[in-house]
Amino acid sequence: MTSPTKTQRQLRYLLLGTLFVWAFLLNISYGSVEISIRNIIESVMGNNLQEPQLDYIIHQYRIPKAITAVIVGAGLSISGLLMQTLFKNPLAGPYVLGVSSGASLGAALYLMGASALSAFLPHWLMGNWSTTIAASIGSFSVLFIVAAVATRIKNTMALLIIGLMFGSLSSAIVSILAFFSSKESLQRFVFWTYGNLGNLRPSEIGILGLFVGIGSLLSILNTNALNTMLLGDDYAISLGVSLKKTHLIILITTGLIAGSITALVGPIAFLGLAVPHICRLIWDTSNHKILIPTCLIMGAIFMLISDSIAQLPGSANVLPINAVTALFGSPIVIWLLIRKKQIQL
Amino acid sequence: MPLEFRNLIIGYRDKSKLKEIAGPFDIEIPEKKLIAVIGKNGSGKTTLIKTIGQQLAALKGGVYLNEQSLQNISNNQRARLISFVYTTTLSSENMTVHELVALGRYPFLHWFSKPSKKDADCIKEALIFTALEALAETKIHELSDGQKQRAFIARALAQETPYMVLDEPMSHLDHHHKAQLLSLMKKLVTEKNKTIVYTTHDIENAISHADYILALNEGKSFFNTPKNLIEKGVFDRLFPKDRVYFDSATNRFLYHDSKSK
Repeated sequence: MTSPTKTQRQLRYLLLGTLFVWAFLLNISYGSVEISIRNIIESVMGNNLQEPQLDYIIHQYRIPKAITAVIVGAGLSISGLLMQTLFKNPLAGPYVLGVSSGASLGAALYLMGASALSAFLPHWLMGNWSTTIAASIGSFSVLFIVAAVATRIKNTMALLIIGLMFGSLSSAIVSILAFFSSKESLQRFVFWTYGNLGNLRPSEIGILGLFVGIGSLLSILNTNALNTMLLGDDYAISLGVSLKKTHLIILITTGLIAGSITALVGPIAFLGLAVPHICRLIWDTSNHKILIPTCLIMGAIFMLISDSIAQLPGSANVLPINAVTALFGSPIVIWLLIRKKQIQL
Repeated sequence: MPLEFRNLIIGYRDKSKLKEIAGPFDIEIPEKKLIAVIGKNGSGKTTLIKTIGQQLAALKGGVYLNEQSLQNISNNQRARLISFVYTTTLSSENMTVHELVALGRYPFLHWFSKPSKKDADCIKEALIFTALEALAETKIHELSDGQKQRAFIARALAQETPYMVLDEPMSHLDHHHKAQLLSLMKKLVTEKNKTIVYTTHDIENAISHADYILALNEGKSFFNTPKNLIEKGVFDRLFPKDRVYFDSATNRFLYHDSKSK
């Protein structure tokens, strides 16, 4: 078995690009009102539609949501890839560092803890942004702790365990909070954990785009160093890679991406773990030069399709996006693995 | 550009305690020679290699290259002087032989820079030299042990370093592949002017093939040509039990003395 030839690869890139455009348009078209792809294209081109309310829906709701899906999907996939390479573990995902647990804890403390104290807190602290701010504080505190630990210890396995401990610790605190909180605030927290792509203000989308953009750029710049990490620590050091520096860059990149996504959109799981595997299996390589761009596009496609399914076309109901990604993604990964009969990092 | 061990003591730091394993060494490694480091498990062979690779700090003294302590030169500079072949398994074997060998060019790339014509030539030459050209697009996990070892040597060769350090390169190989690997290593010395340091616990093999031997045993060390070490009776003193060995080629038990040249 040899790896795919150059033309085969180019063909796959072309296919991926087409799939992306299709998924993007599909995502805009589905929702409580179905909009034809022709209408979408006309509206995007600047032509006024016969029904002006469709124009409004497309520009105010659908396009921002589709852009959010692209950013979130791309960001989670790239950070999942980085974590799998760093920990040399195919089960690692963007959340193993505990940043999303930190975000959940922050959100829980605000949604379930602070509501009891709301009478005593200043009014501005209870505004629209508060959940986001609380979740951000949670995720970035954990990131800060993880980065501080990483500068002290060389062993990545210890980092992995520390991340898991943060997860257990914060879910324990969340359970206790949930036990004592009112029905309404518990429900608000549960809804937050479902994830929501459609609630973001343009400024929030901008922040998300900035973080994911910086993270992706840092990953691309470190392509060669990431590849040497596939050889193991001994070889990476012998090739002149500064492991501490590279580890720190990977941790901060992942933390920024996963932390900001969890804070703004909610803890969307699974995608970050699955997409890198799908890319490795389809492209039959572990080379980051190919994996980084394909993970970005594939993650976006995956998120767009998941969100389209979540809209339950033809119905007014919307499923939790967090459930759909796993529901739709797990069979794909299982099928690919059974077909290839081999798992490689 | 000689490689030197100056007053070097190797070992581990366990918290604040120092655990000396071998040394002090005061050795100047002769250039463009095949040098075997022999000793039993735990004698310090791997510790020495990790110390050369700066993964372990020397407890005392240091490794010097061209009058400069390796501790004081940058990671990148070191990677252009010494390449390594380890026994560790890769984190991922899902790469082609070409991709593996290409990683040897890492010290010459900057950030995202693309491989140059020079890089491509180096990779190609390394593949030809190790007779892996036909397997260039084969995945590492599909190679035999002997082919794998050659691929790792090709990767080190692409790194274009004057020194190559190999940790137990022959440990998993059968007779035929051992011989093949040894002739490749000798060819690297004679045709590519490399200085090769390799560890082995096959004393016979080291005596018959290496130009120089560094023998380690319970903290003591001896460094000289095999002939000289035999004349001084070093092997008899250091490895008395190893005097009798089983030669699988002839299916007979043999003595050291019967084979020493």
